[in-house]
Amino acid sequence: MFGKIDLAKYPFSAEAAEYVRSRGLTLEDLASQELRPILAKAEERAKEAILRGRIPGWRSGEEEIEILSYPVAIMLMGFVGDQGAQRRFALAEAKRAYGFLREDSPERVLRIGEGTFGMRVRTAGGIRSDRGKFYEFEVHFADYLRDTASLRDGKWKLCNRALSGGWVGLTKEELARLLQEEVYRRILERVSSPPPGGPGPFEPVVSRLKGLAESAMARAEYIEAPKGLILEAMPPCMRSLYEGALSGRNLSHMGRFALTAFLAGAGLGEEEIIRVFQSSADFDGRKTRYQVEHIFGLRGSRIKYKPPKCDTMRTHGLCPGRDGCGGVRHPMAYYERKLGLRRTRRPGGAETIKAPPTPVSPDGDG
Amino acid sequence: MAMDERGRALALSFAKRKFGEYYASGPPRLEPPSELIRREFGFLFFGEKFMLRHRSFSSAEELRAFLKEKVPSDAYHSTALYRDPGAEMENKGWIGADLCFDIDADHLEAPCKFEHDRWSCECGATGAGPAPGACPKCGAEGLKEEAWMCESCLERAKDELLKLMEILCSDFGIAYSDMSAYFSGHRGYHLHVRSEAVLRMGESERREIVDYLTGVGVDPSAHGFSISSGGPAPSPSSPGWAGRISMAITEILTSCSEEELRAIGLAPRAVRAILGERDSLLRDWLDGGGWGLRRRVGGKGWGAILKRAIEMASVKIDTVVTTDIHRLIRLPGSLNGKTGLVVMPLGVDGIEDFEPFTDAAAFEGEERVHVVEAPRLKLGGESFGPYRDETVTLPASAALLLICKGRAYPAVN
Repeated sequence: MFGKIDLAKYPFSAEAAEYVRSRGLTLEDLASQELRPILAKAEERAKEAILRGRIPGWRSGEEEIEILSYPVAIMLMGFVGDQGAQRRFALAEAKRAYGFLREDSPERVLRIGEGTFGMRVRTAGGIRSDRGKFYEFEVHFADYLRDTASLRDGKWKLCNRALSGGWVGLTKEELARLLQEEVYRRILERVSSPPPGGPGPFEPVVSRLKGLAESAMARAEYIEAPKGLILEAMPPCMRSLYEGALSGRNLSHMGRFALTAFLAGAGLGEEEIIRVFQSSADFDGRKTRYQVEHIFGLRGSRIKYKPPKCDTMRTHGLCPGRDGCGGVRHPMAYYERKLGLRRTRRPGGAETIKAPPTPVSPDGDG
Repeated sequence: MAMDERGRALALSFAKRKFGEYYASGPPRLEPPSELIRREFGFLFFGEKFMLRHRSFSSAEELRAFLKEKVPSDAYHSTALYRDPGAEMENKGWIGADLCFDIDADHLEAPCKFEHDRWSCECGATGAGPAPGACPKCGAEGLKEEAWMCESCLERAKDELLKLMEILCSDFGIAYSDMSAYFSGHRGYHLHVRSEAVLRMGESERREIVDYLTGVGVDPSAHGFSISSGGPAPSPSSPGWAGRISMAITEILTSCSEEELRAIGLAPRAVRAILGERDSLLRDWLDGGGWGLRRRVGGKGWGAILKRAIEMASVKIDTVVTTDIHRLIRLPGSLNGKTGLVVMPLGVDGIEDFEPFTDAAAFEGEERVHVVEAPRLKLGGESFGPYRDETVTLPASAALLLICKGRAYPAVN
């Protein structure tokens, strides 16, 4: 089912991995002169991804090099270590995969979903959606959510899909998009644990890529939020919580957490924040101080928390309006944009606003 | 009317003694969670403010012995499984978590709230029902609320629980055998889903499930409900939200009164049209593609109907409980310190007939108590109260309920 061209298109697939294994190449082999083209191709993969966010194509007849260069590129990016560069690389590879998958046969897309990523996915036999789309596939909601939780477009929201018996209907193109996420995650996983023992003979290549990554990523600079709170720049959600707290309204736990983390992010000190809560009816000085210090990272896990993103605010009923914020995803981003903090552009990538340098805990549990 | 120091002390020692009796009796309803050694436990104790957390047990026997010896007022376990549940939060090693839901009468619109809930302000003003935004007398905000519970509130919560279970089964394909339902012992119900399919889900995935259930972000046009184009409206038997919206609209057409239609936000003309042509609109809705209704109420009215339909079809759950993957939840079969009632495991078949105040009672016999103040209380078909500053003899569980709620203390003589 998988010819050489397919393996070149999908070098991340279980089939390609098996093929690479069967070639029995060692790291020493790869450093040798005869296999030079593989290493060169791997470096090109990484370089193009970092600089332009894309993976170059291959010349007909060079499928072998294409297939073998993929695991080598992953190894190289593992040694490069720069997380920003790793994400760019993973994204470029994942997008490349999407481009091929959306054009490929349903059988192959299904096989990669099931075989390579262990997704619970099956053919649906053309269930008609209410929008007149034909769903070729169904995927289990747990797999669906894992792959779409970070996708922003409203059409991916589970509540806007036909969900029945645990299965979500998908078109082929949509399944390909889910697989893009799978590829992305798989690559990030792999580059985060490079082989032990350091780059050895690949040191020159790795250090070239490192230099490239540094200069490309350095363009995004840190911007510190100014001291003091600029009311006019606050997003509506935080403004409402803030005014609520000042006027003595009791905020929910989530509301209190969100406001505290936001104010901390905006540069207010603990004492200033505690004062904000003083007017609320259930003010308990000791408890408030404890919570604020916890969010500041002075207690417990010593992790400084970031305020919840817009999606979370919405879920907990803390977002006053759906579309009033010009498409930002995070209350902090809204604030920074309003303050006119400079936006930085990553090469070829989306516009980003650097958050204040706060490590973020994986859970928002305040 | 407040209770004095002595009353409070009497009440506390009485409650502690009764809770001790319960745990000493080896309560058969106590249901240690699955994979007990992987769970964190937390406890509250009578007269103490802070929770004892990060406890772990090596067996159900050890847990039972702890309850018997320490007599906590409230007992909780983590919805999560950890490699080392007794460690500090950041070193626990999260493995996965049950998918848990909390349905609380607090979140439901129940007209009976005006009968038994009340609010008070520091200026002395009090009133019935949920607290208004500001005190009508002095204008202060942040009023104190005192919520009570009653059979009809809990009946509504039970309806929500059944609705939740039905959606989890039909839409999410979760088997009833993977769901365990519990009476919380106070104002609501808990549902724990234990299944490989959900165990490892992170917070953002759980949030999507919450949004699905609560209808946050539902776009009717994604389900085939647009005003002009988009073909016939989906039938009530369509899967997922399409069917649920269609069902709710059927209900609106069938049974909404003039007042209710107005409350939806329909213009008088649209209300008259629906009331006047109910049968034909309904027939058209179910068999004819639903063009009639859309034409009759116009774009704005249609939007209002859809909004109301989504509201009707959504499940009212406490969102944080479901998204938080490190949460503690009440230990099934323990006692709720706010009421003295059992956190009661309900079999799937037993939910419909469950009567909280009878079936979750932990004690038999009677107790004499002095009630400071309490609204009417219905227990097992019998009605007690309202009381105000009087000494009465009550079924033990009713007495304990009032004592735990700080409305009564044991009568001395």
